[in-house]
Amino acid sequence: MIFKGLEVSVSGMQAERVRIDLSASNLANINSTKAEDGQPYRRKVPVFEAVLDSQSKNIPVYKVKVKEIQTDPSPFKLKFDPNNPDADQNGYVRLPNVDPVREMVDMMSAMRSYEANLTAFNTHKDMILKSLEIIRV
Amino acid sequence: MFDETDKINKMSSFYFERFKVIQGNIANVNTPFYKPKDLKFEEVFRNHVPMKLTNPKHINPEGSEDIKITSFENGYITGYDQNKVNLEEEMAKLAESSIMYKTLVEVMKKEMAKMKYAISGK
Repeated sequence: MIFKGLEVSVSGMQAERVRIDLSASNLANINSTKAEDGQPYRRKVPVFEAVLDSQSKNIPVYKVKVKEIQTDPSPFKLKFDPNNPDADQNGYVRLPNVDPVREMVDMMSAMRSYEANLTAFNTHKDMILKSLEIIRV
Repeated sequence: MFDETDKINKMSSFYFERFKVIQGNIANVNTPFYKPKDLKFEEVFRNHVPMKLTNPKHINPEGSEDIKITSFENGYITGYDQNKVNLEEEMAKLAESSIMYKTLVEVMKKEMAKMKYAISGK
């Protein structure tokens, strides 16, 4: 199928966008001491999976899929802030396990991967349009 | 009469297929445990140079496959996610495949123009 390559790049772009969305949500909740379960917010990370898309003429083409969204089990950060209403009896507040530097790096990496997929998409589009020129002779 | 166009057709479809495989590698640049795939080129012309087997000890040109898929592991350092895609290399291959494809389309256009000229005589 001629448009399969476009779908592959689109799946890559979608996956990278999920990554950017999750990074944004992690950053937005960097100070959320109470999530829906009463615990501080936990960092979310997507898990990608390669999915065999088509196998015509023994040529496997792999799409990418977001398999699941996992929660980072690393420990919460502790901050001494006795006046905070969420502080425990020792005066410590538990903050989400989100590291802003890490999230920014993740976001940059996702952005670059997105752009790489976009380049592949545009090049493929050009190639398809180019092959139309054959009938214009 | 259509020998030339047939050859060009095969080559360009090889580059088109290779392009798609590389696109898959780029899409999976962040997938854990993914190994990049590539297509081999040598197999393409095997059909055009038929080898005769006059002796059983001769090496048999295996199968009639035009294109062969290879999964390769390179010596690059992988991250903690065991992904072996080297993005720079894949982008270079992507550009290479697309340029080759576009060139072959140009050659095909020339072939067609020649044929048209031969038919119409003007």
